[in-house]
Amino acid sequence: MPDRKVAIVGVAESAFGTVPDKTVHELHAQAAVRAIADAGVAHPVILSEAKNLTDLVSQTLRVAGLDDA
Amino acid sequence: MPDRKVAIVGVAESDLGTVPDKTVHELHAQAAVRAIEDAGVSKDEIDGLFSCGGTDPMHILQLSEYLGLHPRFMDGTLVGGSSWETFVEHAFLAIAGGKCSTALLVYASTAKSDVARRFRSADAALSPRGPNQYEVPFGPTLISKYAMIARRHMHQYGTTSEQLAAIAVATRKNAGRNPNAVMRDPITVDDVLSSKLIADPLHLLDCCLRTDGGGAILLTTAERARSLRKPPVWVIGSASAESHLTMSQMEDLTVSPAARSGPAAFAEAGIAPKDVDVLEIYDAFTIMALMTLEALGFCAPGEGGPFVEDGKLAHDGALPTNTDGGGLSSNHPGMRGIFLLIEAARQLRGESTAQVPDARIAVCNATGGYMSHCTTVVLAKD
Repeated sequence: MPDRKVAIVGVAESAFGTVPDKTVHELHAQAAVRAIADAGVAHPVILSEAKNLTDLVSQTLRVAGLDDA
Repeated sequence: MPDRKVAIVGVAESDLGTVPDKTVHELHAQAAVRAIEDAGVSKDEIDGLFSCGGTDPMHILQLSEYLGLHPRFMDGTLVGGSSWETFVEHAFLAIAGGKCSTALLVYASTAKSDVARRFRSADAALSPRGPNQYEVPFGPTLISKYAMIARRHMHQYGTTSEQLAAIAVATRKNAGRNPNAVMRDPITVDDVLSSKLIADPLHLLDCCLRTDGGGAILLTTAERARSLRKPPVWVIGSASAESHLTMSQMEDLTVSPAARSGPAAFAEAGIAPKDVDVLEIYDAFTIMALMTLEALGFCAPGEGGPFVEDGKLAHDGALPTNTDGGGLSSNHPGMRGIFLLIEAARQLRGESTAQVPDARIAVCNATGGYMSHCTTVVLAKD
Protein backbone atom coordinates (compact mmCIF):
# COMPACT_ATOMS: atom_id res chain seq x y z
CA MET A 1 0.00 0.00 0.00
CA PRO A 2 1.44 3.41 -0.92
CA ASP A 3 1.84 6.22 1.64
CA ARG A 4 -1.39 7.85 2.66
CA LYS A 5 -0.89 11.55 2.11
CA VAL A 6 -4.17 13.04 1.02
CA ALA A 7 -7.78 12.28 1.94
CA ILE A 8 -11.28 13.45 1.08
CA VAL A 9 -12.70 14.83 4.35
CA GLY A 10 -15.85 16.68 3.32
CA VAL A 11 -18.48 15.99 0.67
CA ALA A 12 -21.80 17.61 -0.13
CA GLU A 13 -24.28 18.32 -2.88
CA SER A 14 -26.07 21.58 -3.50
CA ALA A 15 -29.77 21.51 -4.15
CA PHE A 16 -30.21 19.60 -7.41
CA GLY A 17 -32.88 18.51 -9.81
CA THR A 18 -34.73 21.57 -10.99
CA VAL A 19 -33.53 24.64 -9.08
CA PRO A 20 -34.96 27.68 -10.83
CA ASP A 21 -34.55 30.01 -7.85
CA LYS A 22 -30.75 29.96 -7.44
CA THR A 23 -27.94 31.31 -9.61
CA VAL A 24 -25.11 29.04 -10.61
CA HIS A 25 -22.87 30.96 -8.20
CA GLU A 26 -25.31 30.38 -5.35
CA LEU A 27 -25.23 26.66 -6.06
CA HIS A 28 -21.42 26.66 -5.99
CA ALA A 29 -21.49 28.44 -2.65
CA GLN A 30 -24.20 26.19 -1.22
CA ALA A 31 -22.29 23.02 -2.11
CA ALA A 32 -19.03 24.46 -0.76
CA VAL A 33 -20.55 25.61 2.53
CA ARG A 34 -22.20 22.21 3.02
CA ALA A 35 -18.94 20.35 2.29
CA ILE A 36 -17.12 22.57 4.75
CA ALA A 37 -19.79 21.83 7.35
CA ASP A 38 -19.52 18.12 6.56
CA ALA A 39 -15.76 18.24 7.12
CA GLY A 40 -16.22 20.14 10.36
CA VAL A 41 -14.10 23.16 9.59
CA ALA A 42 -15.15 26.61 10.60
CA HIS A 43 -17.90 27.63 8.25
CA PRO A 44 -19.65 29.92 10.77
CA VAL A 45 -16.57 32.12 10.39
CA ILE A 46 -17.22 32.33 6.70
CA LEU A 47 -20.84 33.27 7.16
CA SER A 48 -20.10 35.90 9.80
CA GLU A 49 -17.42 37.58 7.72
CA ALA A 50 -19.22 37.48 4.41
CA LYS A 51 -20.57 40.85 3.34
CA ASN A 52 -22.21 39.63 0.14
CA LEU A 53 -22.32 36.69 -2.21
CA THR A 54 -18.97 37.32 -3.89
CA ASP A 55 -17.39 37.81 -0.51
CA LEU A 56 -19.01 34.59 0.68
CA VAL A 57 -17.50 32.65 -2.20
CA SER A 58 -14.13 34.28 -1.66
CA GLN A 59 -14.22 33.56 2.08
CA THR A 60 -15.33 30.01 1.38
CA LEU A 61 -12.32 29.50 -0.86
CA ARG A 62 -10.01 30.97 1.76
CA VAL A 63 -11.28 28.76 4.56
CA ALA A 64 -11.18 25.77 2.25
CA GLY A 65 -7.56 26.68 1.47
CA LEU A 66 -8.34 26.99 -2.22
CA ASP A 67 -7.67 30.67 -2.82
CA ASP A 68 -3.93 30.30 -3.25
CA ALA A 69 -4.03 26.94 -4.97
CA MET B 1 19.17 26.61 -1.38
CA PRO B 2 16.25 24.25 -2.00
CA ASP B 3 16.60 20.96 -3.87
CA ARG B 4 16.87 21.27 -7.61
CA LYS B 5 14.21 18.94 -8.89
CA VAL B 6 12.76 20.52 -12.03
CA ALA B 7 14.30 22.68 -14.75
CA ILE B 8 13.28 24.62 -17.82
CA VAL B 9 15.24 23.00 -20.64
CA GLY B 10 13.64 24.37 -23.81
CA VAL B 11 12.20 27.76 -24.74
CA ALA B 12 10.96 29.20 -28.03
CA GLU B 13 8.63 31.72 -29.61
CA SER B 14 6.47 31.16 -32.65
CA ASP B 15 6.32 33.81 -35.37
CA LEU B 16 5.40 37.07 -33.61
CA GLY B 17 3.92 40.43 -34.50
CA THR B 18 1.42 40.32 -37.34
CA VAL B 19 0.93 36.73 -38.54
CA PRO B 20 -2.14 36.67 -40.79
CA ASP B 21 -1.20 33.43 -42.58
CA LYS B 22 -1.25 30.97 -39.66
CA THR B 23 -4.04 29.59 -37.50
CA VAL B 24 -3.77 29.69 -33.73
CA HIS B 25 -3.13 25.94 -33.76
CA GLU B 26 -0.30 26.30 -36.27
CA LEU B 27 1.33 28.86 -33.97
CA HIS B 28 1.00 26.48 -31.00
CA ALA B 29 2.68 23.73 -33.03
CA GLN B 30 5.40 26.02 -34.36
CA ALA B 31 6.35 27.20 -30.86
CA ALA B 32 6.24 23.64 -29.51
CA VAL B 33 8.46 22.23 -32.27
CA ARG B 34 10.98 25.04 -31.81
CA ALA B 35 11.10 24.47 -28.02
CA ILE B 36 11.65 20.74 -28.60
CA GLU B 37 14.53 21.57 -30.96
CA ASP B 38 15.95 24.08 -28.48
CA ALA B 39 15.93 21.47 -25.71
CA GLY B 40 17.19 18.61 -27.83
CA VAL B 41 14.58 16.20 -26.50
CA SER B 42 12.34 13.85 -28.45
CA LYS B 43 8.66 14.64 -28.89
CA ASP B 44 7.95 11.15 -27.52
CA GLU B 45 9.33 12.19 -24.14
CA ILE B 46 6.54 14.72 -23.61
CA ASP B 47 4.04 13.22 -21.16
CA GLY B 48 2.69 16.45 -19.64
CA LEU B 49 0.74 19.18 -21.48
CA PHE B 50 -0.23 22.56 -20.05
CA SER B 51 -2.16 25.14 -22.05
CA CYS B 52 -5.22 27.39 -22.07
CA GLY B 53 -6.89 29.74 -24.53
CA GLY B 54 -7.24 28.48 -28.08
CA THR B 55 -10.62 28.13 -29.74
CA ASP B 56 -12.56 25.71 -27.55
CA PRO B 57 -13.46 25.49 -23.85
CA MET B 58 -11.81 22.04 -23.97
CA HIS B 59 -8.76 23.55 -25.66
CA ILE B 60 -6.35 21.23 -23.85
CA LEU B 61 -7.94 18.20 -25.52
CA GLN B 62 -8.11 19.89 -28.91
CA LEU B 63 -4.45 20.85 -28.61
CA SER B 64 -3.18 17.42 -27.57
CA GLU B 65 -5.09 15.97 -30.54
CA TYR B 66 -3.63 18.58 -32.92
CA LEU B 67 -0.08 18.07 -31.66
CA GLY B 68 -0.42 14.27 -31.75
CA LEU B 69 0.42 13.95 -28.06
CA HIS B 70 -1.06 11.50 -25.57
CA PRO B 71 -0.02 13.09 -22.26
CA ARG B 72 -0.73 11.29 -19.01
CA PHE B 73 -0.92 14.62 -17.16
CA MET B 74 -2.74 17.70 -18.46
CA ASP B 75 -3.79 21.04 -17.00
CA GLY B 76 -5.88 23.79 -18.58
CA THR B 77 -6.20 26.22 -15.67
CA LEU B 78 -7.28 29.62 -16.99
CA VAL B 79 -6.44 32.58 -14.75
CA GLY B 80 -5.51 35.05 -17.50
CA GLY B 81 -2.00 36.08 -18.44
CA SER B 82 -0.55 34.52 -15.30
CA SER B 83 -1.70 31.04 -16.37
CA TRP B 84 1.79 30.19 -17.69
CA GLU B 85 3.53 30.91 -14.40
CA THR B 86 0.76 28.93 -12.68
CA PHE B 87 1.50 26.09 -15.10
CA VAL B 88 5.18 26.19 -14.05
CA GLU B 89 4.07 25.77 -10.45
CA HIS B 90 1.72 22.92 -11.40
CA ALA B 91 4.26 21.26 -13.71
CA PHE B 92 6.86 21.43 -10.95
CA LEU B 93 4.50 19.56 -8.63
CA ALA B 94 3.58 17.03 -11.31
CA ILE B 95 7.22 16.30 -12.25
CA ALA B 96 8.50 16.32 -8.66
CA GLY B 97 5.56 14.09 -7.70
CA GLY B 98 6.26 11.59 -10.47
CA LYS B 99 3.05 12.23 -12.41
CA CYS B 100 4.95 13.15 -15.56
CA SER B 101 8.58 13.60 -16.56
CA THR B 102 8.67 16.14 -19.38
CA ALA B 103 6.07 18.89 -19.55
CA LEU B 104 5.23 21.11 -22.51
CA LEU B 105 3.71 24.52 -21.76
CA VAL B 106 2.48 26.14 -24.94
CA TYR B 107 0.57 29.27 -25.79
CA ALA B 108 -0.52 31.04 -28.95
CA SER B 109 -3.01 33.66 -30.01
CA THR B 110 -3.95 35.41 -33.23
CA ALA B 111 -5.51 38.31 -31.32
CA LYS B 112 -4.28 40.96 -33.74
CA SER B 113 -5.25 39.25 -36.98
CA ASP B 114 -8.57 38.17 -35.43
CA VAL B 115 -9.54 41.83 -34.98
CA ALA B 116 -8.74 42.48 -38.66
CA ARG B 117 -10.82 39.39 -39.56
CA ARG B 118 -13.64 40.71 -37.35
CA PHE B 119 -13.52 37.48 -35.32
CA ARG B 120 -13.34 39.57 -32.16
CA SER B 121 -13.74 43.16 -31.06
CA ALA B 122 -10.82 45.41 -30.19
CA ASP B 123 -11.88 45.42 -26.53
CA ALA B 124 -11.97 42.18 -24.57
CA ALA B 125 -15.52 40.84 -24.55
CA LEU B 126 -16.67 40.99 -20.94
CA SER B 127 -19.42 38.60 -19.95
CA PRO B 128 -22.42 40.29 -18.36
CA ARG B 129 -23.32 37.03 -16.61
CA GLY B 130 -22.76 36.33 -12.94
CA PRO B 131 -21.59 39.00 -10.50
CA ASN B 132 -20.26 41.08 -13.42
CA GLN B 133 -23.87 41.95 -14.33
CA TYR B 134 -23.78 44.60 -11.61
CA GLU B 135 -20.80 46.39 -13.17
CA VAL B 136 -21.37 45.95 -16.92
CA PRO B 137 -24.19 48.57 -17.02
CA PHE B 138 -21.64 51.19 -15.96
CA GLY B 139 -19.50 50.38 -19.01
CA PRO B 140 -16.08 49.53 -17.64
CA THR B 141 -13.65 48.33 -20.30
CA LEU B 142 -10.53 46.35 -19.55
CA ILE B 143 -8.41 49.47 -19.98
CA SER B 144 -10.70 51.67 -17.88
CA LYS B 145 -10.33 49.24 -14.97
CA TYR B 146 -6.56 49.74 -15.04
CA ALA B 147 -7.07 53.48 -15.48
CA MET B 148 -9.13 53.52 -12.29
CA ILE B 149 -6.33 51.68 -10.49
CA ALA B 150 -3.74 54.13 -11.80
CA ARG B 151 -5.83 57.13 -10.76
CA ARG B 152 -6.24 55.72 -7.27
CA HIS B 153 -2.47 55.18 -6.98
CA MET B 154 -1.90 58.79 -8.07
CA HIS B 155 -4.48 60.08 -5.58
CA GLN B 156 -3.14 58.05 -2.67
CA TYR B 157 0.60 58.39 -3.26
CA GLY B 158 1.14 61.31 -5.63
CA THR B 159 2.36 59.05 -8.44
CA THR B 160 2.67 61.04 -11.66
CA SER B 161 2.12 60.33 -15.35
CA GLU B 162 5.81 61.16 -15.86
CA GLN B 163 6.79 58.37 -13.47
CA LEU B 164 4.53 55.85 -15.20
CA ALA B 165 5.99 56.99 -18.53
CA ALA B 166 9.52 56.23 -17.26
CA ILE B 167 8.55 52.55 -17.23
CA ALA B 168 7.49 52.69 -20.90
CA VAL B 169 10.72 54.51 -21.82
CA ALA B 170 13.01 51.98 -20.09
CA THR B 171 11.09 49.06 -21.57
CA ARG B 172 11.39 50.53 -25.06
CA LYS B 173 15.14 50.90 -24.55
CA ASN B 174 15.26 47.15 -23.86
CA ALA B 175 13.13 46.41 -26.93
CA GLY B 176 15.67 48.32 -29.03
CA ARG B 177 18.07 45.41 -28.43
CA ASN B 178 15.56 42.73 -29.45
CA PRO B 179 15.22 42.21 -33.23
CA ASN B 180 11.91 40.38 -32.66
CA ALA B 181 10.36 43.27 -30.73
CA VAL B 182 7.52 44.99 -32.59
CA MET B 183 8.27 48.54 -31.31
CA ARG B 184 12.00 49.35 -31.20
CA ASP B 185 12.49 53.08 -31.79
CA PRO B 186 13.52 54.95 -28.62
CA ILE B 187 10.86 57.07 -26.92
CA THR B 188 10.95 59.80 -24.29
CA VAL B 189 8.71 60.67 -21.36
CA ASP B 190 7.30 63.49 -23.49
CA ASP B 191 6.45 61.00 -26.25
CA VAL B 192 4.42 58.98 -23.77
CA LEU B 193 2.64 62.03 -22.34
CA SER B 194 1.83 63.40 -25.80
CA SER B 195 0.52 60.07 -27.10
CA LYS B 196 -3.24 59.69 -27.34
CA LEU B 197 -5.09 59.49 -24.03
CA ILE B 198 -6.77 56.06 -24.05
CA ALA B 199 -8.38 55.98 -20.60
CA ASP B 200 -7.40 58.83 -18.30
CA PRO B 201 -4.66 58.76 -16.97
CA LEU B 202 -3.29 56.02 -19.29
CA HIS B 203 -1.84 57.17 -22.61
CA LEU B 204 -1.36 54.97 -25.67
CA LEU B 205 2.27 54.31 -24.73
CA ASP B 206 1.25 53.29 -21.18
CA CYS B 207 -0.64 50.39 -22.77
CA CYS B 208 0.70 47.10 -24.11
CA LEU B 209 0.62 46.18 -27.77
CA ARG B 210 -1.79 43.77 -29.39
CA THR B 211 0.05 41.23 -31.54
CA ASP B 212 -0.20 37.69 -32.80
CA GLY B 213 2.22 35.07 -31.55
CA GLY B 214 2.96 32.22 -29.20
CA GLY B 215 5.60 30.58 -27.10
CA ALA B 216 6.53 27.23 -25.59
CA ILE B 217 8.54 25.94 -22.66
CA LEU B 218 9.72 22.46 -21.76
CA LEU B 219 10.35 21.41 -18.17
CA THR B 220 11.85 18.14 -17.06
CA THR B 221 13.45 16.25 -14.19
CA ALA B 222 16.85 17.19 -12.76
CA GLU B 223 18.36 13.96 -14.09
CA ARG B 224 17.18 14.52 -17.68
CA ALA B 225 17.98 18.24 -17.51
CA ARG B 226 21.62 17.53 -16.66
CA SER B 227 21.95 15.26 -19.71
CA LEU B 228 20.88 17.94 -22.21
CA ARG B 229 23.20 20.27 -24.11
CA LYS B 230 21.97 23.59 -22.75
CA PRO B 231 22.37 24.62 -19.10
CA PRO B 232 19.31 23.85 -16.93
CA VAL B 233 17.25 26.77 -15.66
CA TRP B 234 16.07 25.61 -12.24
CA VAL B 235 12.66 26.34 -10.79
CA ILE B 236 13.54 27.12 -7.16
CA GLY B 237 10.36 28.83 -5.93
CA SER B 238 6.79 29.54 -6.95
CA ALA B 239 3.59 30.79 -5.38
CA SER B 240 0.20 32.11 -6.48
CA ALA B 241 -2.41 34.45 -5.05
CA GLU B 242 -5.91 35.49 -6.12
CA SER B 243 -7.67 38.72 -5.35
CA HIS B 244 -10.97 39.24 -7.22
CA LEU B 245 -12.53 39.26 -10.67
CA THR B 246 -15.34 41.78 -10.13
CA MET B 247 -13.65 45.17 -9.72
CA SER B 248 -15.88 46.24 -6.80
CA GLN B 249 -14.46 43.29 -4.85
CA MET B 250 -10.80 44.38 -5.14
CA GLU B 251 -9.88 45.05 -1.54
CA ASP B 252 -7.31 47.79 -2.21
CA LEU B 253 -6.96 49.18 -5.75
CA THR B 254 -3.28 49.96 -5.13
CA VAL B 255 -2.15 46.49 -4.00
CA SER B 256 -1.30 43.67 -6.42
CA PRO B 257 -1.88 40.04 -5.37
CA ALA B 258 1.89 39.75 -5.90
CA ALA B 259 2.14 41.15 -2.36
CA ARG B 260 1.19 37.60 -1.27
CA SER B 261 2.61 35.42 -4.07
CA GLY B 262 5.98 37.25 -4.16
CA PRO B 263 7.08 36.82 -0.54
CA ALA B 264 5.88 33.19 -0.55
CA ALA B 265 7.86 32.37 -3.69
CA PHE B 266 10.94 34.23 -2.42
CA ALA B 267 10.75 32.33 0.90
CA GLU B 268 10.52 28.99 -0.90
CA ALA B 269 13.56 29.92 -3.00
CA GLY B 270 15.45 31.31 -0.01
CA ILE B 271 16.06 34.67 -1.69
CA ALA B 272 15.31 38.34 -1.06
CA PRO B 273 14.65 41.11 -3.61
CA LYS B 274 18.31 42.21 -3.40
CA ASP B 275 19.35 38.80 -4.81
CA VAL B 276 17.41 39.26 -8.05
CA ASP B 277 19.60 39.89 -11.11
CA VAL B 278 16.82 40.07 -13.71
CA LEU B 279 13.13 40.76 -13.28
CA GLU B 280 10.42 39.88 -15.79
CA ILE B 281 7.02 41.27 -14.77
CA TYR B 282 3.77 41.45 -16.65
CA ASP B 283 3.31 44.97 -18.02
CA ALA B 284 -0.10 45.12 -19.69
CA PHE B 285 -0.07 48.72 -18.48
CA THR B 286 2.67 50.81 -16.87
CA ILE B 287 0.68 50.92 -13.62
CA MET B 288 0.70 47.09 -13.47
CA ALA B 289 4.51 47.03 -13.59
CA LEU B 290 4.76 49.78 -10.95
CA MET B 291 2.40 48.04 -8.53
CA THR B 292 4.22 44.74 -9.07
CA LEU B 293 7.56 46.31 -8.08
CA GLU B 294 5.98 47.53 -4.85
CA ALA B 295 4.23 44.23 -4.13
CA LEU B 296 7.39 42.18 -4.66
CA GLY B 297 9.25 44.39 -2.18
CA PHE B 298 11.69 46.12 -4.52
CA CYS B 299 10.38 49.37 -3.02
CA ALA B 300 7.81 50.25 -0.36
CA PRO B 301 4.10 50.56 -1.17
CA GLY B 302 3.52 53.95 -2.77
CA GLU B 303 7.19 54.49 -3.65
CA GLY B 304 7.04 52.89 -7.08
CA GLY B 305 6.92 56.26 -8.85
CA PRO B 306 10.17 57.70 -7.43
CA PHE B 307 11.71 54.20 -7.70
CA VAL B 308 11.32 53.92 -11.49
CA GLU B 309 11.86 57.51 -12.59
CA ASP B 310 15.67 57.24 -12.85
CA GLY B 311 15.38 54.56 -15.56
CA LYS B 312 16.70 51.71 -13.40
CA LEU B 313 14.46 49.21 -15.22
CA ALA B 314 16.56 49.42 -18.40
CA HIS B 315 18.76 46.41 -19.17
CA ASP B 316 21.83 48.36 -18.06
CA GLY B 317 20.10 49.88 -15.02
CA ALA B 318 20.14 48.92 -11.35
CA LEU B 319 17.17 46.53 -11.73
CA PRO B 320 17.07 45.14 -15.29
CA THR B 321 13.38 44.50 -15.97
CA ASN B 322 11.47 43.21 -19.00
CA THR B 323 14.70 42.89 -20.91
CA ASP B 324 12.97 41.61 -24.08
CA GLY B 325 10.91 44.79 -24.32
CA GLY B 326 7.88 43.44 -22.46
CA GLY B 327 4.27 43.68 -23.46
CA LEU B 328 4.68 47.44 -23.81
CA SER B 329 7.15 47.17 -26.70
CA SER B 330 7.98 43.58 -27.70
CA ASN B 331 4.77 41.59 -28.13
CA HIS B 332 1.42 40.99 -26.45
CA PRO B 333 -0.87 38.35 -27.95
CA GLY B 334 -3.22 38.53 -24.96
CA MET B 335 -1.98 36.24 -22.19
CA ARG B 336 1.69 37.05 -22.25
CA GLY B 337 3.00 35.28 -19.14
CA ILE B 338 4.90 32.65 -21.11
CA PHE B 339 7.18 35.29 -22.66
CA LEU B 340 8.37 36.38 -19.20
CA LEU B 341 9.58 32.82 -18.59
CA ILE B 342 11.20 32.55 -22.03
CA GLU B 343 13.18 35.77 -21.54
CA ALA B 344 14.16 34.88 -17.96
CA ALA B 345 15.46 31.48 -19.12
CA ARG B 346 17.45 33.16 -21.92
CA GLN B 347 18.99 35.57 -19.41
CA LEU B 348 20.09 32.70 -17.16
CA ARG B 349 21.54 30.86 -20.19
CA GLY B 350 23.35 34.01 -21.36
CA GLU B 351 21.26 34.14 -24.58
CA SER B 352 19.31 37.38 -24.17
CA THR B 353 19.52 40.17 -26.73
CA ALA B 354 19.88 42.55 -23.76
CA GLN B 355 22.03 40.25 -21.63
CA VAL B 356 22.58 41.17 -17.98
CA PRO B 357 26.18 40.16 -17.16
CA ASP B 358 26.37 37.01 -15.01
CA ALA B 359 22.65 36.85 -14.29
CA ARG B 360 22.13 34.04 -11.76
CA ILE B 361 18.67 34.62 -10.27
CA ALA B 362 15.65 35.69 -12.32
CA VAL B 363 12.13 36.35 -11.06
CA CYS B 364 8.97 36.24 -13.18
CA ASN B 365 5.73 37.73 -11.87
CA ALA B 366 2.68 37.49 -14.08
CA THR B 367 -0.68 39.09 -13.48
CA GLY B 368 -4.00 37.80 -14.81
CA GLY B 369 -7.39 39.42 -15.23
CA TYR B 370 -7.72 42.94 -13.80
CA MET B 371 -4.97 42.70 -11.14
CA SER B 372 -6.97 39.58 -10.24
CA HIS B 373 -4.32 36.90 -9.88
CA CYS B 374 -0.55 36.60 -9.69
CA THR B 375 1.97 33.80 -9.81
CA THR B 376 5.59 34.49 -8.94
CA VAL B 377 8.30 32.10 -10.18
CA VAL B 378 11.96 32.18 -9.07
CA LEU B 379 14.50 30.73 -11.51
CA ALA B 380 18.21 30.07 -11.03
CA LYS B 381 21.17 28.75 -12.94
CA ASP B 382 23.78 26.35 -11.53
